[in-house]
Order: sequence, then C-alpha cells, then structure tokens
Amino acid sequence: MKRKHTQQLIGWLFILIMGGCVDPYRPPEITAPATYLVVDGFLDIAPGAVTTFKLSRSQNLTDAKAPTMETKATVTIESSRNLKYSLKEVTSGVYSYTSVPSQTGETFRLRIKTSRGVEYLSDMVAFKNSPVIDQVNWKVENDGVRIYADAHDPTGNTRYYRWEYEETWEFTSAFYSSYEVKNKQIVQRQQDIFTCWNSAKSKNILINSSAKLNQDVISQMPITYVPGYSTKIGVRYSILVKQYALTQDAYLYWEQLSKTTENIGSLFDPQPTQVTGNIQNLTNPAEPALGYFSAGTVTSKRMFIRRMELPYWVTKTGYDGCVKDTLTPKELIDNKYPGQIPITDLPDGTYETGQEVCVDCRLQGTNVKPSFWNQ
Amino acid sequence: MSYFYRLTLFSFFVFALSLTGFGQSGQDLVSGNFTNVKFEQFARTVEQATPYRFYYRPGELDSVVVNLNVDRKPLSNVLQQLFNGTLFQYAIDARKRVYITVNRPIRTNLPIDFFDRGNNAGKDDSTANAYLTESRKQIVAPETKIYEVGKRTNPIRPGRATVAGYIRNQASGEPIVGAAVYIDNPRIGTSTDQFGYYSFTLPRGRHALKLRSVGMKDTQRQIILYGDGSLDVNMEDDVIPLKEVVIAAEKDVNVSGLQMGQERVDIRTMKQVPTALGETDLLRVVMTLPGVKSVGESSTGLNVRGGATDQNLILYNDATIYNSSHLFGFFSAFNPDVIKSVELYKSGIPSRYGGRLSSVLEVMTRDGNKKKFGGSGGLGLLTGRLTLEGPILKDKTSFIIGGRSSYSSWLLKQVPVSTFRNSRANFYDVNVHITHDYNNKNTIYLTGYLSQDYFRLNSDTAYNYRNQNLTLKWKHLFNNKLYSVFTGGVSQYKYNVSADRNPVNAYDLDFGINQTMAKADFNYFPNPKHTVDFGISSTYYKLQPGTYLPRGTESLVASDRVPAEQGIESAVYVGDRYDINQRLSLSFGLRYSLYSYLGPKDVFAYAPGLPVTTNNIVDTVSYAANKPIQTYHGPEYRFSARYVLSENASVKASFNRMRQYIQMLSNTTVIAPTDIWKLSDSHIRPQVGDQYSLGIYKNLKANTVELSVEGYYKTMQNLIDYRSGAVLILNHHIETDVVNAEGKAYGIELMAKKLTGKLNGWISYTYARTFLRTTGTQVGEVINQGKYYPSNYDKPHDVTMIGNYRFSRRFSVSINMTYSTGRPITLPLAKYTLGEAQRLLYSERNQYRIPDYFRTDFAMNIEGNHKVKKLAHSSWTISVYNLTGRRNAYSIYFKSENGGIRGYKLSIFGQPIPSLTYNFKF
Repeated sequence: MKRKHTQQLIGWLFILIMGGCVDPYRPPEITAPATYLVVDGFLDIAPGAVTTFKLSRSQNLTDAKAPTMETKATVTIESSRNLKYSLKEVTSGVYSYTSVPSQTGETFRLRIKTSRGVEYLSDMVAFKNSPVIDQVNWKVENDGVRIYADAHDPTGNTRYYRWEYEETWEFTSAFYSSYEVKNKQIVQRQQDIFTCWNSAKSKNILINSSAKLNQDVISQMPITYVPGYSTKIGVRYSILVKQYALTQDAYLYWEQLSKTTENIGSLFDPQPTQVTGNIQNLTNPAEPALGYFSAGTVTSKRMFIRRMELPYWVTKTGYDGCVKDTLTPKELIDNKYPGQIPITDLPDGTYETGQEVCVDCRLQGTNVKPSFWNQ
Repeated sequence: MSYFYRLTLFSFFVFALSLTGFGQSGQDLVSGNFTNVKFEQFARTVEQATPYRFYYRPGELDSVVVNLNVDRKPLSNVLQQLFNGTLFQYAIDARKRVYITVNRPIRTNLPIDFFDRGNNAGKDDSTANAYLTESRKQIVAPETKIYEVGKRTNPIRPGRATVAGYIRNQASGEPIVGAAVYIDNPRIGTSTDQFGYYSFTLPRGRHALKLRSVGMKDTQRQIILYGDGSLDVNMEDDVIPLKEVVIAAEKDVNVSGLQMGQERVDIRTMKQVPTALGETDLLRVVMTLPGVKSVGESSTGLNVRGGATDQNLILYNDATIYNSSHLFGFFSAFNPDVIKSVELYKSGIPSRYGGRLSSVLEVMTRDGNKKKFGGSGGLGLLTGRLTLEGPILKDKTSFIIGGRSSYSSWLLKQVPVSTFRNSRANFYDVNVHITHDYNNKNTIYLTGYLSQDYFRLNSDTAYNYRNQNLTLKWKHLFNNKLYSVFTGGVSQYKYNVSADRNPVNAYDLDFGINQTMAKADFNYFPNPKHTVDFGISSTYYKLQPGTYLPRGTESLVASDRVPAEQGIESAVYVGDRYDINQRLSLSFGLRYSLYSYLGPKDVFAYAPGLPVTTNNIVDTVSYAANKPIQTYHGPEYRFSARYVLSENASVKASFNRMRQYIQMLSNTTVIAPTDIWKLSDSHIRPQVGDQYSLGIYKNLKANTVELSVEGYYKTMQNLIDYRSGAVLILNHHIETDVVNAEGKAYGIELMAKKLTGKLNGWISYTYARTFLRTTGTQVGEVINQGKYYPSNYDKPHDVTMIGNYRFSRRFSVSINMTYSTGRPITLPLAKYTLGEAQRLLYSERNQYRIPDYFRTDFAMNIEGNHKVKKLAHSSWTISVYNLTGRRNAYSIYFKSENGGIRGYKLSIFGQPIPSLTYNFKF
C-alpha cells in the first residue's frame, strides 16, 4: 500500500513537470476595423421543409452583448434553373422560405443585399441528401456515457458528414410541492412543478469523413459525452441526432473552423488562419463575409437512456444545498418569508416549506412534457 | 628512481645551506679557441682557468665535440651555445659546480616550502612536483626532449618543411579536435581537424612547437625540423581544473581564426548549463548562443539567424539527423555521454558543407578509450543512461557504445487519473562508434545510431518515430601535405501513426526518408600560405511521402499511397584559405551543386496564369523510373576574410550562398512528429539563401575575455508558406496547398565571454529580425496582401547569460538567465455567432506577440573526492529550472467552449522544476 502511494506520488510529480499549466488570458484590446456579415443557415430542399438563414454582424472580442442582427436585407436563393426564391424576414435578422423545390443536378446560390446596399453572393453549390442514420447508441466510458452514431451510404456518394444534436432530459426539483398559496389561501397544487424537462443544442463542430475508407461507412462517430454525475442522466435522457451531408469544400470549411477554434491548445497547434466560407462581398471584395452556404436534406434519429440502464452514479442535481423549513399558514399567506413555497402539511397545522429554487423546477427548465417523450 | 632524486636533493640542500651570495667576478669568464676538442678536454681547460668544477657522466658526453671560439664570456652563455639543439642540460650552483645532465637540468636550490610539503601539497612549484612525483616524470620528459623530424642533415638545409601528425589524449588515445599547434617566432600556427590531425609547414630548424586545447594541459615539443616528417603528440587531461574551467579551444581563435559565425561548444561546457530535466542537452546549450532561437520551451527546433527549423544541417558524425528531439522536444536526440563537442556554423559556412540554408550543426562523438575499459552513466528524473568504452585491440581499435532510455511510461502508469494512466510516452537511443587505426596512414571509423520514440496521449492514436544512421569513414594519408576522407553512409527517418480502438477505422500512416550518401574529401597543404580542400559528394534521397493502410482485417480503410519520390543531389567543391600576410587572410570557396528530381512520377501541369488548384490541372505527364523530371543546379559562393587590427583585435567579413533541395512541410509553429519532408520538384523550387556578415573581435586580459560584435543580412528565395487550411499529410499535389515566399533577415549579435578563472561564462545580446513575403499574385497565394510579415520565430531582443562559479574542485554553481521578446502570433480580430457557438475571425498573420519570455535556471554540481584510484567516480547535479517560477507563455490560444470564446495561455514549465541527476564514471 505504501509502495503504491510512493508510486502515485512519483507519477504526480511527473505530471507536475510535464503537464504544463493553462491560465486564462486576456488579449490586448483589438478592435476590428469593421463588423462583418455572418450568414448562418442551411437550404433544406426536402419538400415542405423550412429554410432559415440568420444574418448577424461580427463583434469585437470584448463585446458582451448579443450580436447585432442584420435586418431589412433582401435575401434571395437563386437556382441554376434561373428560379428565384425571396426569403421573408420572420423575426429580426431571421429570413425564411418554405419548400424550395429541387431537381437532380440543380445548383443553388444565395444572394444578400443589405439595407445599406452592400451585396453578397455565395458560390453555386450542389445539394446533397443525407443518408439515414443507422443507429445512435451509447457506451459507458470513464464513469459517464458516450453517445455514438453510425451511418452509411450504399451509393458511396455522401462521404462527408456533419452532425448536430439536441439533448433533452427529465429532472426533478428537490422537493415535491403539494400545495400552493393562491389568492391568500393555501390550496392543493394543480400544476406539477416537480418534474421538468430541459434541453440543449450542440455547440461543437461534429464532422467526419469516409473519404479514406473503401466503403462509405461512418462507424461509431462520437457525438457527445455525458458525465455520470450529470443531472442530464439523473432520470431520463434523450438525444436527437441530426445528420447533414456535405460537399468536400463544405467539409474543409468546417474542419478549418473546428481546427482554429476548438481543437487547439496542444503542443503542436497549427497556425490559426482566417477561415472564410463560400460567400463573397461583391461591393468590397477585400472584406470577408463569414459563414458557409450549403444545401441538401437532413436526417435525424432519436435515442433515450433511462436511469435504470446505467450503473450507480451519484447525480449532482444542483439542488444539493436545499433544506426544508417550517412555517405557519399565516406566515405563508402573509408572504413573510418571500420565496418559501409550501411542500407538505404537518400534523400540527404548520407547513414544511422550501426555497422556490429548490421546489419549482420551472426555474431550470419547462414542465411542459415534450411531445416525443412517451415514445 | 624517485628515491635517488630525493637523496640528490637532500645533498644539495646541505650544500645550499652553507653557501649563499656568490656573485660573478672577472675570473669566472671563459676564453679560448676550441677546435674539435672533446668535451672532457674542454671541461678540464675551463676548470684550470676558472673556479668552476664540472660534474657529469663521461659516458654521456663522450660524443660531444666542442667547436667554439670564445672571448671572456660567462660560462652559462658558452654552455648555452654548446648545448643548443641537443638533449644536454646544464646547471651551475652557487659554489660554481657545473652539472651536465641529459634531458633535464639539475635543480640547484630547494623548492619553496620544501619542509612543509606533505601537509601543504599543491603549491605552485611544478619543477618540484616533477621531481617528487614519479608519474609526472613521464609527461614532463617529452616537453624537454628534443624530437628530430625528417631525415637528419648536417647542416640543416634552409627553407621549409612540413610536420604532420595526430594530437591525442594521453589517457584515452582519443584524438583532440581543434587543438592549436603553433610556434612563436615567426608567429604561425594551425589547428587539428576533426580527426585530431594537423599538418604544419614551417621553416626548418629548431622550434618549440606549442600545443593548446580545450581542457588539456598546454604543452610543447622541442623539435629540430630537418625535413618533412610526422610527430604525434599526446596531451594530458587538465586534471586540476581549478583555474581553467571553461576553456575555449584555441584561446585566441576568436581574433586570429579566419572562420566567423562559428561556435564550438565542448561537452564540458554543456555539462555546466542547467536544463529542465537535469540531463545535459546539446541543443539547449546551442540555443543559448547568440543568433540561435527557438519558438518555445518544448522545441528543439533551431532558428539560426532568421532561418526556419528545416534549414539546419544536423550532422552526427556525417550522418544527417532529421528529427533531433525526443519526447515532444523535451530532450534532444543526443546522448551526452558519447558526445565530444558540437560545432555550429552560422555564417561563412565552409564549402565542404551544403544542402541547407541557415546553418550547419556538426555533432561529434568521442572515440572509445584505446587504452583501457571504462564506462559512465547516469540516472535522472526521467531517463537512465549507460556508456561503455574500451580497446578491442590495444592502441589500435576502440569502441564506445552508449544507450539511453526513459522510464516516463512507467511514471505515467502510476498516476491515479485515467487520462494519464492511459497515456504512454517513452524513447530510447543507442550509439555505437568504432575506431580502427589500420596503420599510420589509414584509419577507419564506423558509427551507428538509432533512436526511437513512442507516445500515445489518452487516445487510441499512437505515434512512433525513428532515426537510424550508419556511416563508415576511411581516412587515408597520402603524405604530409595531402590526406583524404572517404565517407559512405545511410540515414533513415520514419514515423508511424496508428489507431486501432475502432476496428472499422483502424489505420497505419507511415512516412519515411532514406538517404544514401557517398563523398570524398581532400585536404591539401601545399605551403604555409595556402590550405586547400576539395571534394565531391552525392546524396540519393528516397522518400515515402505517406502511406495510409488498413490495420486489421475488419478495417474498411482504403489504402492510399502517395507515390514515392526520389532525387539525387551531387556537389563538387574547392576551397582555399590564403594567408596573404600576418594580418590578412582570405578564404575562397566554390561549391557547385546539381540536383535532379527523378521519376517514376505523374506530374500535374496547371493552367498558366491561374491559381494552382486541382480545378486548374490541365495535363498529367508521366515520367519513367529514374528519368530526370526536373533538374536544378547552381554555384554556391563562399568567401571570408580576416584582417588583424592588432595582436588582440581583428575584423572579419564573409559572404555565403546556400542551396537547399529538401524541405520540411509543417504548418505548426514547432516541429511536430508528424511533419513531412518534401524534395524540390517541378513546382517547388530549391531554396536559395545569401548571407553577408561582418564582425569585429577583441580579446582582453591575455585572451581570457573575448568580445565580439557580428552583424548579418540575409535574403532567402523560394521559401514555402501555407495556404489557409493547407493539408500536408497524404496530399498527392502539395503544390496546391503551399505558396511561394521570400524572406529577409538581419541582426546584430554582441557577445562577451570569460573563459578562465573561478568565475566564467558568457553574456550575449542579439537584435534580430526576420520577415517573409509571399510572391504569388493569385487568390489564396497571398498572405497579408503580399507585404512583409514577421516569421513565427521573429524575436527581436534576446539576452542570455550563462555563468559558472567554481567554489572548489568538488563544488560549483551555475546560473543561466535568458530574456527574449515573445514570438509573433495571430490573434483573433472579432468573434461571431454561428449555430449555437461563437467563432473567431483571425487577424492578418503574426501581427501580435505573446508575452516576453524570461527564465532563470540554477544548478549545483557536487563531485565525489578526486582520488585517482577509486572504483567509480560519481557526481550529483541538483538543478532548478525556471527558478522564479515565471509562467512563460508557450502559446496563446482561443477556444470556443460551451458556445463562448475563451482565451488561454499555455505555459509548459510554469513552476520551478527541481531535478536531481546522478552521474558516474568508472
């Protein structure tokens, strides 16, 4: 045992020496000479699908505000058949169109004219239809769950893949509340604020390619990792994986973007470079436009994980500091201690109460059950 | 014998006590005309006329014939005249007794502190030591002995003759490189080459041939030069390094040598410089020299005078080393126990070297001990090493074999965190060197080298890389004035990246370089004013630029092979060093190199005037095997001059042009294990570099302090930079991912060195800039609008101090301080939101800098006692790297994490790193 400790100590010493250290770094004040147009969206050519493009402006690094949206622009999708589809601005900076028809071999491009008269045009792109996702599965790894996706294209035309996902999970607050204070009265609670759902969208770039394989097969592409203590797998977890097929150029764009903004910080980093997509500024060609225009269809697959399928892990619910209190009905009705919510009644006529954040799960999510939840 | 001397001394002592203070009077003068008189008769004549009495062995002097005509001269002058050029020595004591001996004069008074000796050893009285210590006698003797060189003639003919031979270490028989061989009157000299060989032409007659070298005792040989001949000299280790700790090879070479921009570092000096992990590291020491920089802490890539890391020719006993680092660059690939010295040429590169633009770094191994078996080794924080050496045939053949291995993988397994426990990192290297003196004229050297690295960092991707070299050298002496060295060798570098966790995607990625080289070098010493070298060399390269193969039967990986490429590089050169007079020396060199890129190969042709992209391929031309696809050739001029301003000051200038036909492709800032090399081909032209440099050198305080200022200006053509998003691995058409660039670099280097004394070391300051500019005009071929931008290793200010203080023979302390400007980086200019995450837009290349770098290291060397007869000698080195714990930035990067942008600073050795190394020698 002692020997083991010594060995561990030596090991730690080694890490101390070799591991290096990472500190936060605040760069010098750099101000970009201008803000640049950012085009975020995808032309979905599936019948009935809604195509959305979000136009915004780039920001200075220190700018903490939400990005400025590019409103009142003229956004048009042009096809090689000389068809034009004008997108409508649905909310500020978000432009959409429903059901863009397509024919085999047809190509598309995006034309944008801002309210200030600056014009942008994308390259002509071919659309690519995404093959189905064969499966989404999970494995227990390093005290957590890693989620994988498999896909293949028997025609061998896809080759370049990109994924996005949306996680949804059920969770409960610390205490189940049976009562509520309504109109200066303590009444039975009608609405469940104990069980809620929360969701999150993928933030990292997930791409893979079968270009170097004999067959167009993606095997066990890691999608995401959920640590065992995460509240996401505290009750029940679901993930919807969306798959896009990319052209080679689009793949290279996403790969570059991933390399320069995500896979960085090793000893052998590539030099960061300016990653620009396939959209040019026609008015001022030297000024970059950001984002990438691509077209095609999306396929998706949903998967669930129940708590009982997993090994025993202690969940960090975020409610760890919650304690109960006891209040008289009068104190509750007079709201003497704001934020205290009755949980249950006690034989002596008082009520067990808890802090709102510990009782009302709606502060962390929604108590509206998603439509897909009972699958 | 020693008893005899003691007795003699005792008797002198008795006499000396009673007799002091005799002066010279008129009757002591000698007059007479002696013609063909025997010495015995001469002595008798003198005894009759003067109070002198002669003591000698008649047998020793019976052959001496006196032919003198003297008139009232002191006896000492007469004897001086008589015995000049012979082995005889004389001594006259206070009672006018004259002792004639062979080889060594008799002492006529007592050594100082004679009675205190025993408890006060080590007083500065070498003559007494010589008498008292039996072992010293053998060494002292050759210094006074007279060596006759050449066939004896009487009288000595006028004119010049050449003496040549080897300078070796007395104890091990190892040749001494760079030893100065010179005479004082006239003041001319030469130095030994890499084999310890010298050839020296000087006026016939009697000379005191003086020898000096690093860490060796100065010595001299009395020679009478009758004609061409050889003289081998053994020098003795400076076993009492109290006064001279760091000793430059040739104490005044800084001023008097013709070479500029050259640095030689001896292993003794290297051992004093503290390193991060306690192990002597050749490349880290080289990095402390002015004009040499590196991009970061873990990098052993050298940027010499604004050159890229692939522009250095790293030679290990003439074999090219392609990857000089171990374990992510924390160690260099050279085992300190087998290294003798390292020489770096930054400018005025001699014409015998070629093939790289910036510098030549020549690493030389020791020869094994020719006299007895021995070994050395050490244990450090991460590595262990062992070296054995000894004679195979005594005094003829010797071997040295050294091995080194890390135990870092074992350490990683001990860490109770899975990310580390699942990681591996280890390396080893093996060096073998055999020297065989076939006879006086022929020597054969065989060197083998193997180094291997393996690492896997908490993932399924494993990296392996390996250097393998073998060289055979044959040195042949034609005569004293001409010798040749024939060298043949193979150098191999390869790496493998593999992954097998997911059997469907399991792969092996391989890259390899094979280099076969043959050359013949000749050195010719026609007369003392000229030193000529010439030769011819040829190198054949075969590269496997990348093979990507399935691993295991389940793998769906499609085989992808980038076709092998081959090329042949040949050169002829001639160089002449011409000493016009004592002040002015010139060296001219011309190297002509010829390179052919050979088939089989399919070469793409691109539409002229359009960007070089796959869309613009208009034709594919197939070339048959070994058919030249593209040939490049050109002269490389080398010139240097030295003008001596005064005895201890000189000015030197040089110009050199270099051509490079093989380059490393890397878009990482530091050398990564997955970097590939590429031969020049139809699209990628050979790099050409010109350098002009000028320097002023001054030595102070009897050559113990050296000052130098060197400035340079450099231009480089056909450099390579990369397009945004360049893919370098498994690329069948690299030309579409690179852009053509040119570079310029200039700088000034100031250095002050103190070489001797208890306190020694150097301090240097460098101001250096280096810029690149793309020369293309097409879209994607222009970086920063075609304007000059700082290269990745442009660090304008650099101050380095290496200091060593020796408290006693067994205890010394070293301090090393270095400051430099932070290297340039590309910082993000703006952020933008795409999908759910923020992304970055980067500025123009290299417009900002990481914070400045400052580090202090400290080391203590503690040696065991210095008893000569001991089973093993050991020493401890305790060092602290980065004493102040400053978190020097290795890199600055920005990451999109959880949708937001965060900036980070990565420091590699962000805290003081103590280490302990145990070294032993037996």
